[in-house]
Amino acid sequence: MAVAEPPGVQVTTTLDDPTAPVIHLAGELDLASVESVKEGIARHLAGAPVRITFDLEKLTFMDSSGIALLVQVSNDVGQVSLINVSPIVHRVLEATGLLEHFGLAP
Amino acid sequence: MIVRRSFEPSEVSVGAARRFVAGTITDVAVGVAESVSVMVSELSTNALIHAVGGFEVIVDRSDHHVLVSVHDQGDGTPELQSPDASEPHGRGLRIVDALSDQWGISSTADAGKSVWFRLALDSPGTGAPTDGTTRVSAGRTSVGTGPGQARPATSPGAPGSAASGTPASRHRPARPRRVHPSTSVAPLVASVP
Repeated sequence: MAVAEPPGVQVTTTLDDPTAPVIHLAGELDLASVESVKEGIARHLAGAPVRITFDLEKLTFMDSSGIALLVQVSNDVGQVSLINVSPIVHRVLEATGLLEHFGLAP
Repeated sequence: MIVRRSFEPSEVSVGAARRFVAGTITDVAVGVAESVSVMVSELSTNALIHAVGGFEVIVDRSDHHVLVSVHDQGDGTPELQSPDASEPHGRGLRIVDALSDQWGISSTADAGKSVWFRLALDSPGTGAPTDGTTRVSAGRTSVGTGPGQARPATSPGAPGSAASGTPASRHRPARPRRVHPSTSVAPLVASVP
């Protein structure tokens, strides 16, 4: 179910469990698209989830603007996990010391 | 090969800058190209957020390296930060520091600044070894802007020599290369704290 299709990033969700949604990001997440993504995931934050999983399989690019968004969500929700992380995103998260924060192995 | 392009002060310029630089290194290893794209994105984003107006991207591409400089008119000085896990912002230069072989900040003659990075193309996946050697010893990166703090670059245009010995530049590996003088990525002066 597409909830937002800004240029660059699509946000879809798997709502098996409203308290722990899986949000799929696709496209390029940077300064130009981060606000649209924020809007796209806002309603899931409104449901007071205890955990959010971001599936990054189809995310072709992410920089620190995207990391900032993930950290903000993490601050709001408490637990954010990332799955299907590409090698470059893994390296960037490693460089910024956030691997464990997002449930990733070093 | 040296190419340059100016970008509008718009958020979409970040992606445009990435694609511009990517177009100059289409033949390199995927890992290198991805690292360059992330770093271009970080420097372009910084230029848009902290500076006034648009920015210019200069790419110096040889068989052995790519050197990218992002030039803006902002008077702020980017600093290498170490935000904790709950702080959303402040990771841009940290990422550039980790993914590049060398980077630095240079004052420019037009009162703006250039933030640049260099990445060797010799070996795939270069630039970010995962053994911890990418850590920075300097706690912060800054350049002085006072008149007494600037000194002429010993070799204008070569960022390695221009910023040599200053915290604004990191060297990894210490492998000096001759850079074409017209690169102008470290124009005229290199500031020291």
